[in-house]
Amino acid sequence: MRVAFFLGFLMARMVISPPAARACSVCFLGISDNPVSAALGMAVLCLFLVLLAVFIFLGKFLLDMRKRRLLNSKEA
Amino acid sequence: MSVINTTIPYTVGARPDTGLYNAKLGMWLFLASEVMLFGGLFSTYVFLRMAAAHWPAGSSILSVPLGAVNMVVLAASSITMSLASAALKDGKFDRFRTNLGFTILLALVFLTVKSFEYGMKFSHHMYPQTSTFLAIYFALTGVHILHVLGGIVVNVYFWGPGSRMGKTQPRRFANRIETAGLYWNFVDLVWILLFVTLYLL
Repeated sequence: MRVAFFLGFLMARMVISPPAARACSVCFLGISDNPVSAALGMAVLCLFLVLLAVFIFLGKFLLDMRKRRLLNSKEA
Repeated sequence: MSVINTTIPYTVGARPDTGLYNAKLGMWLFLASEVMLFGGLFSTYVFLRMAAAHWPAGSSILSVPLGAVNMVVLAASSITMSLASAALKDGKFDRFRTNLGFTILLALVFLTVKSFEYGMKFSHHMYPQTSTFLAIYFALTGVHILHVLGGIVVNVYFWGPGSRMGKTQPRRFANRIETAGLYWNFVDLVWILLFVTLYLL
């Protein structure tokens, strides 16, 4: 109960005063042409591409599985 | 007291819907998580490199010939690992042990070269805290070395006590070696990427 109250309080605190939520990860301190901003953008893109590759692999695996299941049910 | 006798399915043959046996499916999922781990580290490298005002050329700090030697050594160990797996599928157990032994030996050569390289850096007072380049170099290669060590432990087990399964359940054992080979090829691929990004670019 106490934990739930504490978590609720934390969430309410974040909703009422969300400086962390407002912090822009793309442009630090609003300086969009900062090299750090550009670097972070590229790093996020790089990570996104890796995740995309993994998701494509998983998606293809699931599609193949569906195809196999259909083939197996046709044979049976 | 009743004893429930259960057998785990698909340890030898492939499951009809996935087309994979258990170990291979598990290994692919594990490798997917490994890709994300190294993806995170590589994106950190991209961030540090792009954000830095000055980034040194890898060849000015690291020894390209030693890195290249390690690449050849790991590529050769991948070949011997594949040969070991193929030998087991052909039922040639002695040839399997010889090839797996060479794989372990080559992995140890890799670690020796790497420790020599690390030693050279430390003797020149080049530590992770010296520069951002060295920090990411030690982080990336250090995580890779942990993976090589893990691979060696697994391969030594399959070469030694684990090889008993090769006599009792040869097909299941062949599957295990094939799965270990997948992991080893991944470790080799990561080193090629590390060599290109850290040493050459």
